[in-house]
Amino acid sequence: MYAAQKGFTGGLAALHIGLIAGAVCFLVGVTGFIVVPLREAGVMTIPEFYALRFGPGVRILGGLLLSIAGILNMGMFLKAGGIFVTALTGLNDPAAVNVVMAILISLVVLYTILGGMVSVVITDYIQFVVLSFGLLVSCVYAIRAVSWQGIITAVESIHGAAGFNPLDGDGFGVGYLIWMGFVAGLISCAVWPTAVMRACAAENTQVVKRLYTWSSIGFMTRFIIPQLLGLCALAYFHASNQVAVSVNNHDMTLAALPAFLAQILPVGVIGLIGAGMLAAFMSTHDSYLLCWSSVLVEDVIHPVAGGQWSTRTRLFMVRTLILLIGIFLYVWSVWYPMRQDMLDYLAVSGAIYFTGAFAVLVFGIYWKRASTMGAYLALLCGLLALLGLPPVQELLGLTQDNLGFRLTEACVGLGTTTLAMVLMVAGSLLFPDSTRELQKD
Amino acid sequence: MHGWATFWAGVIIVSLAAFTGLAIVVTIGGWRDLLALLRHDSKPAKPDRKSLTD
Repeated sequence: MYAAQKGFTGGLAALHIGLIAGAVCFLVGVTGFIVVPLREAGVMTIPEFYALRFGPGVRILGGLLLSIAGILNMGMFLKAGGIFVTALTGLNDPAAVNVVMAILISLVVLYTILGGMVSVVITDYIQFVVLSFGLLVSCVYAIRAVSWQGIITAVESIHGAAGFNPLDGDGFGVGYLIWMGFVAGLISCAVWPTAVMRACAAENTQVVKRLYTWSSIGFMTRFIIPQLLGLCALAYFHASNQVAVSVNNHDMTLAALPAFLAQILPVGVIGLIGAGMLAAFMSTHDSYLLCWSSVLVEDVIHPVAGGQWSTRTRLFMVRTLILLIGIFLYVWSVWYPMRQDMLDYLAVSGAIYFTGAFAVLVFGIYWKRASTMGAYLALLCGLLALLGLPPVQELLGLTQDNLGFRLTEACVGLGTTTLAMVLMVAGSLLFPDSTRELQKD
Repeated sequence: MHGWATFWAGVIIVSLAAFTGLAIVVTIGGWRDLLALLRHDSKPAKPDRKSLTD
C-alpha cells in the first residue's frame, strides 16, 4: 500500500524507486558487498556479528536500537491494514478504522503466539500466491479502467513535469533518488535483518550471490507493480474530479488504492484481493513480531540477565513481548499523527537502526582498525534520524518557517548516515581497541 | 515528458513480465518446499533431539 501511495502522490517518476532498488540489489549480488563477508563470518544475525567483531556491549546496544527502529517501523502497518479493509469494504465511519485495527492485531498476536515459526512459513506462502496472482489480475482490470493515456493525462495535469522526471527538483530530486538508492536498495537488501538472515542461512557464498542477483527482480517489481496500481487510482479519481481534494491528505492517499479497487473490481476478485492483502498483513506482522521479540530476548534481555535462562523461559519471554508489542502497535496506530507518505515514515523510522548499522557493518567488515568506541558512537548517532519525523520536527521547532528550508527525510537520513560514518572513523582513531582485543580478533 | 512516458511504459511492461514469471516459479517451487517442510515436521522427534517447532 505504501508503494501504491507513492505512485499516487509522485506520479510516474515514483517508478524510479523500484528501478533503483532492483539495480542496487543486482549490484550487491554481483559484488557480494556486505552480505558475502557476513556469510563468511558464520553469523546468523547482525547483532551476532557485532558481538563477534566488537564485543557483547555493542551487540546489546545494536539489538536494542534494532528492536526500537523495527517496532516503530511496523507501527504504521496496522493503520494501513485498517484503512485498506475499511476503504475496500466501504466502511465510511472514521471510528471503524480503530475497530478493524483492534480485531486485526488481536488475531495476529494470538496466532503468532500459538503458531510460532511454522505458521509464519505457511502464511508467507499463501500470502505470496494469493497476492501475486491477485495483483496481476488487478493490474489488468486497473489498466482497462483508465487506459495508459488516462494515466499520462492525470500525471501531467496534477504533477506536471516532476511527475515524469525523477530528477526534477519540484518533485523527487537528486537527493531523494540517492536516499532511495540507499534505503530501498542497499539497506533493504544488505542491512535490514529480515533480508540479511537469508544471506546468512545460505549454503555458501556462491549461493548468496546467486540469491541476490535473482532477488533483484523481486526488489524491483515489489515497488513497480503496486505503484502502477496507485497511478491507475490517480487517473481514475482525476477523471472523476475527486483527486484535487485528496492528494495532500496522507490518510486519503493511503486509502486511494483500496477505494479504487472497490470500484473497478468485480465481485469475487475483490474478495481475492481482500484475502490476499489480509494474508500479506498477517504474514508481515507475524514475521516482524517474531523477529523483534526474538532480537529483544536473545540479543538484549537474555545477555543482560546473565545468559543463564532455559529455552522455556526464553520462549515465555518472546511470547510475552509479542503481546506487549501488539498492544503498543495498536496505541501507536491510533495516537501517532501521520504527516508524511508511509514509505517516507518507514525509511525514517528504520533509519534509527540502519544509519548506524551501515557504518558499523561496512567499517567492521572492511576496516581492521574499526574500534568498539567507534561502533558505539555510530549506533547512537542513528537516533538523530528521528528528526525526519514531522511531529518531532514540530516539537523541536525545526519547521520550514524557522529554518527557511524544509528538513526533508532524504536530508536527515543522508546527513545521519554521513555523520555515523564520520563518528565511526573518528571514534576508532581516537579510541582504538587495545592490542589484546585486536589480537583476539 | 513523452520520452519519459515511453521509458516508464517500457519499465512497467518489463516489470509485469518479470513479476508473472517470478509468481509462477515461486508458486511451484514454494509448494514443493512447503510439502517437504510439513513432511519433515510431522515425523516423530527422536528421543535425543527436539522438534523444530518446540
